[in-house]
Order: sequence, then C-alpha cells, then structure tokens
Amino acid sequence: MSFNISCPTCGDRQVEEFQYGSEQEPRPSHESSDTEWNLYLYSKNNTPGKESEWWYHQYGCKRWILLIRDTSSNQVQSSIDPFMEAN
Amino acid sequence: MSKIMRTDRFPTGELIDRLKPIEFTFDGKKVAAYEGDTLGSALAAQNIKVLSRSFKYHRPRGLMCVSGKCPNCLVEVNGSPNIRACITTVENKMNVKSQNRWPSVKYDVFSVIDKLHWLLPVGFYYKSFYKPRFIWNLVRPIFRKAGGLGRINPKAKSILEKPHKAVFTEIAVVGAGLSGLSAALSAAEQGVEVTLIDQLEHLGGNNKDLLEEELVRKIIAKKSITIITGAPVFGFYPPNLITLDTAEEMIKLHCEKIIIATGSHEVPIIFESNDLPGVMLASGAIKLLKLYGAIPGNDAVIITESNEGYSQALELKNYGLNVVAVLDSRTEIEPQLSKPLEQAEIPVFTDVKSIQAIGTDYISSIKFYYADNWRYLDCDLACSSGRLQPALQLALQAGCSTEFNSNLNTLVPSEPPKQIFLTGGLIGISDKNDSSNHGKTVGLAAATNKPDLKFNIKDNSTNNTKFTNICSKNKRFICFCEDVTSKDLSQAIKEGFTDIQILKRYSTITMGPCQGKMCLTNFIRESSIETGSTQAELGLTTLRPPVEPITLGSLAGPGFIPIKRSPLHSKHLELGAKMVEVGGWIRPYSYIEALTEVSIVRNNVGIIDVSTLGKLDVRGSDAARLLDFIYVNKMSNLKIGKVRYGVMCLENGTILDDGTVARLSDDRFFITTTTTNIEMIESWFKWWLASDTNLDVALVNITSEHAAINIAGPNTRNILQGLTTTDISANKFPYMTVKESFIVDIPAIIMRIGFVGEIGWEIHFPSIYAEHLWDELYNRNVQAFGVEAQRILRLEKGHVIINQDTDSLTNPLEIGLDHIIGSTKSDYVGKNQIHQQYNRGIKRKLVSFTMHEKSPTPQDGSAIIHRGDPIGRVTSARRSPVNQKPFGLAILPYNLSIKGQEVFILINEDLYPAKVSLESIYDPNGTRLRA
Repeated sequence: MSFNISCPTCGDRQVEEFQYGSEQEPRPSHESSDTEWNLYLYSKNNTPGKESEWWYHQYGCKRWILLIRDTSSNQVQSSIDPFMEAN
Repeated sequence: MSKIMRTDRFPTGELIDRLKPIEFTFDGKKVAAYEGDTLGSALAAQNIKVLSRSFKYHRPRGLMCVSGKCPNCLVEVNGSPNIRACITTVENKMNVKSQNRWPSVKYDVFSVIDKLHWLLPVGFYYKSFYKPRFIWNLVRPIFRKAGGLGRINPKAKSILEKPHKAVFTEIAVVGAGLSGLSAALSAAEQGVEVTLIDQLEHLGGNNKDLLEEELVRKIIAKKSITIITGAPVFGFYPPNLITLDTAEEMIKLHCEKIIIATGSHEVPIIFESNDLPGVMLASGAIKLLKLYGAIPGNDAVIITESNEGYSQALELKNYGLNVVAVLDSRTEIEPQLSKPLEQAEIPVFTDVKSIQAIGTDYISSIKFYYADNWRYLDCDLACSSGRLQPALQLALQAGCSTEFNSNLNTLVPSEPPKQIFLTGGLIGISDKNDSSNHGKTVGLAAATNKPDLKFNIKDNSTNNTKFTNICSKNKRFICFCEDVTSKDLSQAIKEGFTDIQILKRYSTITMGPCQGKMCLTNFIRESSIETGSTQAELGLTTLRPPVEPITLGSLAGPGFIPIKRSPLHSKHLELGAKMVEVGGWIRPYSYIEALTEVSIVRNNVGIIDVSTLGKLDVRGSDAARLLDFIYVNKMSNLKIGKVRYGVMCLENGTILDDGTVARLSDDRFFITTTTTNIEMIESWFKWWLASDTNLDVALVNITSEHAAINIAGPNTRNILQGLTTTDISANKFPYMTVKESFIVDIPAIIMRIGFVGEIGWEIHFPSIYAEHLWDELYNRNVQAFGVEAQRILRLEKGHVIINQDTDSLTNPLEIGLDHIIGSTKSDYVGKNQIHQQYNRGIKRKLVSFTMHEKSPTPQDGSAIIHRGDPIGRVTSARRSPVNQKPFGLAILPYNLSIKGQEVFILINEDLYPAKVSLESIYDPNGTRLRA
C-alpha cells in the first residue's frame, strides 16, 4: 500500500520518502511508575481510524512532522511541522 | 481420420527462420526446431502433445492458450522450474524437462489419482486426514510429492538479480494493441511525453493487421513516444507507479496519467474433458499456424458461443486445416455469418446443448448433443472460440470498480480514478473502428486534462446461452491450475461458500499459476448461475500484484541505496588498497597486509581515513541539556576542551549508538557517531528537538563536510608536532581532550582519543583539504592502515563496536557501563528501563576471551558451548599478531562471566577451549594510550 504525504516544507510526496516514527503519545515522566513506563513502551494503541503520528522526511527536508492519518484508509488528514506551529 | 505423424510445417510462420535449424532435448529426447520457434511451437510441430501433468489429478495436459497465460505447458528449462514453454524462445541445446510426473509425462504413476477423485473432494484438506492426528504426518509426504509444480533445485546457480531503474513519464499507455496505439499517438500529438508499453516483443498486439501497422509506423517516427516492448506490467502501486519486468531490468515507471489498454484474451469454454490435450483456444491454434507454421492438428472442430468462432473457422481453413464442423450453443445465427461457411463447406451445428471431448492421452473425437441426439465427430483438434476475458488486473489495482458488460457477458472495469483512463477490449469494445476511435478520444482526454468521454459503443451482445451439462460423468474443468471442476464449484456453493472471496479460498479457483487469467470469467459466470446472483452482485476477487509471473531476482535486485565514498577515495585507490563495503561506505580493507599494518601502528605510526564517522555539530544554550537527556552519560559537566565517550540508548534501555562528545565551548559540542548510524542518529536528535520545540538547540549533520584522519602509534607525536604549532606534549594535550587549531594551515578539530589503543589524535577538518593533509602525513613515512587492521587493534584493546559486539537487545549494563546507574541525572532516554533491568539483574555480559595458539580462529558468531548446551556466541574474533593466540569478545551468561572461567567454542563442528578474561589483552592499564 502506498499513499502520499503532504510535507509542510516540501509539498505532496510519496510515502516512500518518509520514515514512520511512532504514535504521538506523551512520554511518562521520570517519576512515573514502572507499570506506566511499560505500558507506554510495549502497549501501542494501534487502533483502526484516526491516529496522530510522527513521520520523518528522510529523503527530503529531514524534518519531523506530525500527521493525522486514518490507519484504515491511509488518508492523511493533516500534517504539521511542530517548529512552524511553535513560531 | 488421419493419424499420420506430421513433422513438417505449413508455409506460414512469420517468426521462424527455416534456414537455421536448431535442436533441444525434451525429457532426454532430441527435438528439432528452427530459430524463432518457442518450445511450445517446436513441440507442437513434432506432434508432441502431452507437455505436463495436472496439479491434483495428474491428468495429461498440452498446449492450450499459446500466450503464456495458462498453466498447461509449465516445464523445467536448464534447471529453472515453471517456465512457460509456449512463450519461451528456443535456444540451441536447451535442456527441457516435464514436471509433476513420475516416471514420465506419458506414463505417470500418480495419474491413478484421477480415478480416486472421490477421495479428494473440494476442500478435502479442510475435511479429511486430520483425525486421528498422526494420519496427517503419514499422508503429508505423499501429498507433497504428488501435488504441485516444478521442483526448485537448491544447488542451481543463483537467479539473475535485475537492477531496478526509476523512470518518469507524463502518460503511460499500457498495451500496444489498436486502442493503445491510437491513444498513444493522439496523446503525443498534443505535445505530451508518452511511454508505450507492451508485454509482447512487438507493437500492434495479438491481432496485428494493416490498420495497426500504419499506426506503428507513425508511432516509431514520433520522438515524444518512448517504446518499451517485451515488458509485462506486473503491478500498480499508488499513487501512480507501475512496475515493468524487462529482460534486463525492473523498471519503476512513475506516471502522471495511465491509459490502460490491456485488451481482452480468449478463455476456455467449459465442457466435459475440456482439458484433454488437443483441446485448445482457437487463438492459440491460429497463433501456432500463423507465427510458426506449426500444425496443432489436422481435423479441427470449432466450439463457440459467439460470432468469433465463424471467422476463426475460416481462418483455420485458410491455413490449410480440415475444419470438421462449427458447434454453436446459440439458436439463431445471422445468415451473413453462416453463408461463408457454407461456401467453404464447413458444417454448422446450432443449438448444441452439451459437448464432451473423447480420447485417452489426446482428443480423438467430439461427442455433442444436437437435435435430441448424441452425435460424434472424429477430430484431433478442438478449438474453443470466442469467450473473452478482459485483462482487468491492472485496472482494478489502479482503483477502478466493475460493471457488467453484455458484449462480453462478464465484468469489465469502470469508473476509473481521475488519472486513470481505460480503452479497448478491456472495457468490451470489440469493433476495430470503435477501438481506434475510442483510443483516440481517450488519448486526447488524457493529454488535455479534459476527461470528457462521450462515446457510443456498438452493442454486439451475445445471447447468454451456454453449453449445458446433460451427462456429467466426466470432469468439466474451470480451473486448470488447481484442477477444480464445475462439480467442485457447485459442491462448495452447496456447502455454503457463496461469497466470491470465500469461495475462491475454499475452492482455490484463481489461486494457481495463472492467477485467474484462464478462469476468472468462467468462475464468476458459473458461480452466478449456481448461486442465482448476478455477476455484478457477486463482484470480483481481489486481484493483487504480480499480474504477470516474475522471478524473485527481479524483486531482489539492487535498490536505490547509494554507495558513499570518502573524500580520500582516490588516494586509497592510488595506494592500491583493497576496498570493501562497510556500512554503506567503500573503505580500504588493507593497503599492504593487515597484520603488517597492525605491527607498524603498534611500533611506529599509522594513519587511517575515518571520514566515514558520523559528525554532528550541536549548538545552543540548551545543547548540554539535550545531550544530558539523550546520552546515558552525563554531558553537562563536561569541561570545555574535554572529550567523553558516550553511549545512547533507546527508551527501552537497549544500546542505540556510541561515540565521542567533545565540548568546544559552553554552548557548542562536536559529536561523532558510528559510521553506519549517522542518518538514524540525526533523525533521533531531531525527534527529541521536535518533541520539545522550546529547546534552544541547532543541529547540523556535518558528516560529508568534514573529513577525518586518525593518526596513531608511539611515533605519532614526532610526526604531528612537525605539522602544527599547537603544543601536543603529554601535559599540554592529554588523553581525552580537544583543541580547535591548525594543522599545515588547515583549520581542524583535533581530539586526543585512542580507538586503536595507541597514543593518537583524530583530526576533523573540511573535506576539501582531505587529500592535501593526507599527502602531508603520508609523505612523512607514515603507514596507511585499513579497517581490518583497525578491527584487530581495537579488539586487542577490548573496544566495543556497536552492532558488531552488541545486538538490538544489548543494554549498557551488559557491556560494563554499570557506573551510569549512579548517575545524578533525574532523567535520560532509557533510564526507567535500564534501572528496571538493573533491579532484575542482567542475564548476560560481554567478555574477552583467549584460546590456545593451536586452536583455529573462531568466526564472528560462533556458538559457545557449556556442558553440552549452546549458551552464548562469539561477537568478534581474530588471531593475535603478538602471541598467535585466537582471542576476541563474546556474549556469555552472567554467571559464567568470571575471570578464568573455561568455556568451549564450536569451530567447524569441533569444540575448542577458551578462557574468559575481564580485561583487554593489550595494555590493560592504558599506559601506552595516555603516554
């Protein structure tokens, strides 16, 4: 399966140029319990439907972007560069 | 009926060269052929009818489609299994063997299964031989031997790996038949760049005629059309990529728009014993005659349900065959169809109800039900004519849906996505003028972005009569690949498998080597009749790539990973270095001899090109904070001008990478990573930066901007002091410090570190000066050493190479970095899991070992045995140039990683003792390193 991702810097590109990072999930703090850490690390949501995910434009601008992707249809609903959002 | 063995040919045969006779062997027997022949045509010309045995019942099978689609002519050619004889060009001395038979294709012991079919009903593997359990183990080897296709020869030489090539085009036209040619030409006339592809070796398609030839001439003259022939398109991948398998390469064709004109092809009509050798597709028989002059049979019966049968009967007659009769299932025939046949004295039987082919190894007569009577006709060829199946795989992969087409009485692709266009026989256009005009319109629409297609296609719909099945003792095959009969299909439907996708999986129809090319249409039609649902309601099974059979070598070819070369590459070549690929880089393995190089570094001085090291420049007021977080070591307390070895982990506590961190100023760090990992580490750092955009850090990967040379050995200081004004004495430039300075006027970051275990400096400087500095050093009688010498040197020192001495589960505690547990840092990547690991206790540890000098050297990865059990492995091992003893690093269970512990290493199936040591075998106190 292949699809396009709209990179905020480079424009519409094929998914092959990107590298999947992970689901976007807040990292537990150093004070969190072992159980919380284990769940964060080893229990992924992996739900069908909309997911917020990190992707890296490996063969392009080499920037991380945040996608909202429907994992069952691979439709990308939005893509943002966190640095652009911050400024 | 004439039974004369005919080995001569008809005067037709466009493709063969009668002046060039060649020969090959089929099952050990010599077969005469001409240059240009295919294996199939040569065998047909020699009257060899049985080419293979079928998958399940081991029934004899012969040529059927003659277009590389059906499974009937799969043979082994020069050791490669499952080659389609009918499309494989003969080469002199080819060694061809039949498959799935024993002892010979003519007398096959397993053909008894044909009589035992009641034992093997549809889906038998779901319902029998599972109780009692042991029975499966008994019958499995027999099934494995009896069923199946060719055998893979594990000793055969490796298959050809085809290089992959990426090509870009505006419009791709798949299929160079009449409609494809018209579309390509009209699109190119609008000034766009067109690529025209066909799986045949020539343009014009299977029905090449004057009309096509004229178009081909125009297309060849058109510069903006790229032609790729002999290239089956085997897959469509979104958004708009098609893959082509040519003889030399695998092409990934990226297109803006795709015009699919893959046409349609003939499929068998279903009647009793329709698999007997001698029952062919009419198009196949015509092809044998027209292209090769090979005679498929002398007395032909045409079985048809459409007008096509009448013209094909005349064509066969014109080539010189005796056409015995035309059997038509329809009741009413237009007089203009039957008249020419009357003139040619070919009898026509209409309203034929049921047909059966008779014969043992090949057809000898046809029995049919006509006017309430059974009749017989002697023949040695029966041509199934005029049932068409659109080649819709590619169109469906591209996202088209399907609709019922009454012309073809089957489903055709429809509603293409906006960048896909369909034309020709694929969507049921049969008339030549219609094909050409529709092609033109589609080409124009694709080129001008105006997909405004108003086109009326002539309705040639045939009435939906079919050959019924009055007597049903004999098998009527729907699927030739997997031997599935119409009885099997109706049985499966009776058992409740009415969904087309499930029915496919249960009956295995369309799942064999032809992947539905011969059976999809028949499968849907018969299912529709059995279930009472319309074809449109049933829909199609999913048609996945590959559309055409391809070898694994096409997929396994080299990809697009570029090879990296150091800025000193040409210097290495000048010095005659033996080069080797390491982590995507081409690096010198050795210049003279690795052991000699080792000895020179230990006793004098050597240089190695380490430009391949990953290099990151990290700056900003939060740089120290970021490094503290990413490395397991503390970096914020690193003093300016100091260097520290650092390890980083993943959040799960396993080691990601290691390298040096040099602090150049309060807010500026220079980091090295391992050669292989730099791309990944760059993305790793950037991810943490993107996760906290408030951090004031800038990060640049300067791997290719900076070259690096490591100079090491006891005489290093003498050489280096001559090239720089910086004081490099032991007091002024101690171990693990860094200076930004100049060497022969080149600005450089100079680090005193010692991967190889001798006094030495790593010099990082702009790449453009690489050769200049190399020459300056080399001309002072310094020996260049390669990666092999470096590996020996570092191994003697016990220095770890990440991913060589560690794996993806190794944590820092296992390689002896316990001190990080006491770290005062509140948080860093991996902390929680490393601490959990520490509390549980580690199970294994990386240790050094030495062996007796008479032992052979273990290979990297050799197993370590303790009390008969494999308990660990060697990660790196070499023979010591100092004392000739094999030594190295190994992963052992924690309880055995004790100094002096004896274990055994498995080398060439023998065990050799080794002793564990916990310190490096060379300069364990580091006095030489710090000198």
